Amino acid sequence: MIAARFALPVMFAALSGPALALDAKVTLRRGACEARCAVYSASIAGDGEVAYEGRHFVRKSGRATRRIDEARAAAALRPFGEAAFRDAPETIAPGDAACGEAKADGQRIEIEAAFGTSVKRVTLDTRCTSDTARRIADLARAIDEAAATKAFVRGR
Amino acid sequence: MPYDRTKALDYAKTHWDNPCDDGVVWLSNEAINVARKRKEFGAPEADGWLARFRPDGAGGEKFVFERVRSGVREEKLINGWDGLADCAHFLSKSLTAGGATTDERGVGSLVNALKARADTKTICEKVSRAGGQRVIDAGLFKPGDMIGYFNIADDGDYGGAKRYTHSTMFCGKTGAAGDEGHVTCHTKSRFMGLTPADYTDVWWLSDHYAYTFIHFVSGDATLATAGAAIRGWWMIVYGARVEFYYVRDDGRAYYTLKAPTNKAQVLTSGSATGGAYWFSTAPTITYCWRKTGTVEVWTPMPFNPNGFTISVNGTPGVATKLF
Repeated sequence: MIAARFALPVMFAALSGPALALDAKVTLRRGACEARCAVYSASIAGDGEVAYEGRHFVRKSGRATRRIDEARAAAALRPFGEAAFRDAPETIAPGDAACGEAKADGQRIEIEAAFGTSVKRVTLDTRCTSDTARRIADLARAIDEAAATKAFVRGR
Repeated sequence: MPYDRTKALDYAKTHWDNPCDDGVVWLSNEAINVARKRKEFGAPEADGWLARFRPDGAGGEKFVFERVRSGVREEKLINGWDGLADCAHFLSKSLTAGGATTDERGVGSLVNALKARADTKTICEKVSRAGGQRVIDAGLFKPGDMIGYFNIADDGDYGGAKRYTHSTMFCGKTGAAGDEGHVTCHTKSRFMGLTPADYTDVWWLSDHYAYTFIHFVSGDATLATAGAAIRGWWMIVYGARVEFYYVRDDGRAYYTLKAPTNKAQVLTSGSATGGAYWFSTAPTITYCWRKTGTVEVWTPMPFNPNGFTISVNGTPGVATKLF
């Protein structure tokens, strides 16, 4: 764990540089909410592999993969080397200082950015309404957009 | 056999935080068999393990085996929040316990099945929270009746799908001033007065729904006497509006903005601007308009069998019989 923490600046330097390591990967996991939120994961790897796995309340259950070009993958991964993600608390949930006011219902989102063995993980409860929470939610939406999950989950 | 509200609510009260008596809990895509899980988890009932829905401490719910030994609570997680979807199943079982045999897993099919029954009236359909509250406050929607929740928000249930996504059974009001009324359901588990403090069991649940109220006629006052008195055509004047009602003696009424020309003229649901059910709430007659949840109360005028003073969502007016 300590090694991983020390390795983080290296990881993010790699993520934010012009040439992105091919083994970099960002994974979004969306959990349940009372509004029957789609429960699925989506990942984008530096080599352009995009993977989706639908679990509950989705239009497509199970796994699907496709490829995007490496430049698009790099563009999708780049924000996870920037301050909004790098400096975000590991957990943003009601009761935490970073949460702000909490809504009645929300979804648990986990974003994991990995570069080799170095991993930064942020878990957001979308009941939180702070600016930090909104920024992480925006990053999650950006992963959805880059991974084109909408066709698999929307309007089921 | 008429629908027994007490039995339906008793069943719901027994099972609101635990699996129905068929030993099944539904996820979005498969069933959990509780007996099989007991074996898999080594959690026999004989050893005190109970299957329960419990708040997960993060806004959701979890399905667990739990027991208390020497004052210490033990828990085995059967299924977390992801995928739990047991509301229509729970409603079906509760309604069946009350004599309204139903077996639906989807909310849409449950709503359709209940609407089609001869012993129900869809008092209002996809109305606003305010409309629903008017109907509840009128006292015509009773404990044991069913509410269907239709998602209307782009960021609402099932990724914004515009369809029925949740169902509950109405439990009634507490009697406290301003109380809105409460429900019982699964996913999350609720029962009036027993719901965990983590979330509410107030009937409307969230503002991203429109509401459909399906009422069982069991226990309603008979319509024969009032029906004989009010059937026919009426002119309604309230505020700046003039409307014409065709009232049937079977508890239905329709309205149009066009005056009828003769007594034999009939207005049907297909040709009417709107439809309502009316209820005998002696000495008054109460109408609930289906599309809006508008509640209208008619009070007889003294010494005038062809006139009523009326109140349409609180706006005063007059109803005069045409023929």
